[in-house]
Amino acid sequence: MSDPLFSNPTQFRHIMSALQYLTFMRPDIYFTVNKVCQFMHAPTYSHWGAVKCILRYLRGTATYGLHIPHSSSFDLHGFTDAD
Amino acid sequence: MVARGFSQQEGIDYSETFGPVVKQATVILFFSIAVSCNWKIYQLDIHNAFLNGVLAEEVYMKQPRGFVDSALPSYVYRLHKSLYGLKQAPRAWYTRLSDFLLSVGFHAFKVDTFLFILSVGADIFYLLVYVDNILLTGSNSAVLHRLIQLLSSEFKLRDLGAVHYFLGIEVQSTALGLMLRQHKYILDILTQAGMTSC
Repeated sequence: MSDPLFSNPTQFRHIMSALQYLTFMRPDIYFTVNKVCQFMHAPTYSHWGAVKCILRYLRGTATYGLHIPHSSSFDLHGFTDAD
Repeated sequence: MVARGFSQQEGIDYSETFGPVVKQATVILFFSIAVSCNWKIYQLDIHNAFLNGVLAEEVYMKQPRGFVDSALPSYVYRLHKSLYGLKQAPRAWYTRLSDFLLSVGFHAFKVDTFLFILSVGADIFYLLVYVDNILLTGSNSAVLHRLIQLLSSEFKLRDLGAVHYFLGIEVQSTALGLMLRQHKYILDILTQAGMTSC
């Protein structure tokens, strides 16, 4: 393996836990954050690179959020995908 | 002042410490209902929430340093109400608040006990609790204000008016609905990571 362990795993975990809380208002990063979190026990420099990509993306989209529109309908909608 | 909760022993001066916390999905549901019905959302902040808790257990405390009664230095206090630092403090506060809300007619939402619902005739009210923060909305603003008065007669609280900021979430009314953002929270993460100018 040529991917060395990241030098500051505590900082890595701290930032990932902060990002996890963000996923409630930012479903667009939900999958990515969850994926990187799977390496929390032993993060490497390439995992840290992925975190930096997420942070860079957030810097450009910091004002994004959830918009809940006025609507009088409480209809429930369901979607399925094959199984 | 903070009690030295780390010296407490399970089964002696505390039993249950679990204090439930509202689910994020419930928070979003709460906002959705309010926006859909075009209701205003009010925010209340309970002062020193944990001090309101009533202790079910027998808890004793040494006299705090600097406040020892010189005539009776070996005496200890028996605590009736909760202090910050006690292991059961969050739970005792939740129980106290929940008992009060149930006594005035609210009932707890089945899937998340931190959302309380009150129906009065054709009107319905929702109350969401996150530790010492309360969000309140409903179909009748006159009754809503009476509810706020009722709460403030029971607990010392600050009426923050329409909600702007809750749990790190910025809440902004728009012409089309409600915008929920965590802009400041994102900037804080970037600062911690040293990535503010990336």
